[in-house]
Amino acid sequence: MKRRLIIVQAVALLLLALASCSAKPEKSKVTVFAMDTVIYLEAYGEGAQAALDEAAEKLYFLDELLSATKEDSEISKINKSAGSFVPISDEVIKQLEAALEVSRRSGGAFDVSVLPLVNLWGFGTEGAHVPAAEEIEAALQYVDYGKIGLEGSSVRLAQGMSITLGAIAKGYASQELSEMLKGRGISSAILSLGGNVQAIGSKPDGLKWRVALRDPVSAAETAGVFELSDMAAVTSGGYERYFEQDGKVYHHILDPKTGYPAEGGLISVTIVCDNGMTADALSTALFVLGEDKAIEYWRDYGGFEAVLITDDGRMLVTEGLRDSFKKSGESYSLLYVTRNGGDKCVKYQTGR
Amino acid sequence: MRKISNRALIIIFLGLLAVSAVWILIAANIEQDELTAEIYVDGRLMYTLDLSKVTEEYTIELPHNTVLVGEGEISMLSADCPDQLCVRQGVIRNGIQPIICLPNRVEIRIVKDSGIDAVTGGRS
Repeated sequence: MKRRLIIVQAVALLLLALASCSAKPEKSKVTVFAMDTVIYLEAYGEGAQAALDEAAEKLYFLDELLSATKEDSEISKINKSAGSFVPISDEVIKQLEAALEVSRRSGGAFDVSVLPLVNLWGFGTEGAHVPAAEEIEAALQYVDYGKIGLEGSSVRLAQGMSITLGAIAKGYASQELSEMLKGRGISSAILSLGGNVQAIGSKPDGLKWRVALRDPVSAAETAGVFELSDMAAVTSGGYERYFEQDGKVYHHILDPKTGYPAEGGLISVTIVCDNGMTADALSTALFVLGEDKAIEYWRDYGGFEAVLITDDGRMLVTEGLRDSFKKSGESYSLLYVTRNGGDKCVKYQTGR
Repeated sequence: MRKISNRALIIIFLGLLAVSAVWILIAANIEQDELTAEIYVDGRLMYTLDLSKVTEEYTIELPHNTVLVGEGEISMLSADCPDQLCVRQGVIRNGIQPIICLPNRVEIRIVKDSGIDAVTGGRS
């Protein structure tokens, strides 16, 4: 009799195991076209749909506020008033403060005042072309983060300057949404703002979120997979927005120092950091800095991890990602970057 | 009746395990054969297509875009947008990267459980 009971229990357990495969907690999702990209928000649990709808509203609001191309945005007002102080919102202050810090630390590889150059090149528009050297020279005069005067809740740009938050706004938005959703009691969600990924908590089943890194060379492949919880992953690459002229490819990430697309030998830079805004700014900064200086930056300041893919097929992974990043495919050779890499001869450790 | 040996029990248990394992494998295979594409315009789902059942290529006309549907793959044939990024992307066969025409707010995505929850390095 006892044994029969055991059999019954075993069968019941099996059925339960099978049933649990299909009984997933309800998923809520929202797609938003805003901030010049497509945004997916996915959340689980009670109240998730209402929280996501609110998040979508917030995205539209931030889009209107932060766009450098919309006439009535706060950024446009700042740019039009260059030369005098303009009162600004908390949203913009937060981003400018973070941006200026990355600018200083990177020696100007990241610079929100790069807009005159961006407009000159015309990336993403029909008029995209290589500007004349004199034009670039002229625009460079107005690119200098040091001339952004931030005082209290006002900002002043020097005459002729203009700024864009394009390299930090999506990260800021994902960070804000993440905090807002957590405040609404959401403990499992994943946000993707045009390749800026922010993982909130873990998956409903308790496992970490699996975030693929797109292969910078073949778009339909992954170069690796991160396993993350409560973490942002942001990638900068020159492969998505570019144009060709006279057989040469020009990508959209400009070096604020030279006025030309950055040529630091990197084709993809991913930053993993608990703050989405920081991750966003750093992915651009390290892309512009190039391999050696990017690694130097990581060793000097830390607080984040990175995956750098070089144009000669190497994938440089900072050692903090040993357990949470797995390379896929054989397109790149993996090397770990260690903290104490003082010895120039032993620059990287070979990975498997 | 009282005497069901331990061996018999183990055999029964293993048998049940085998049956359930086969069942799971079959279920997984059925899922793999399906390849569903979804076409969204302005965030709204307009078409759901089973790409595994396509025998002859055909096109779908959207207000500003033309989608080419083939066996196991889908692509943007043409678009009236200036950047042509969506056309340049070519065919997609998996859920890693959707095709997006940002100017016209069109999105083509393949829905398949690839074990990936999100992709970084899309548009930057």
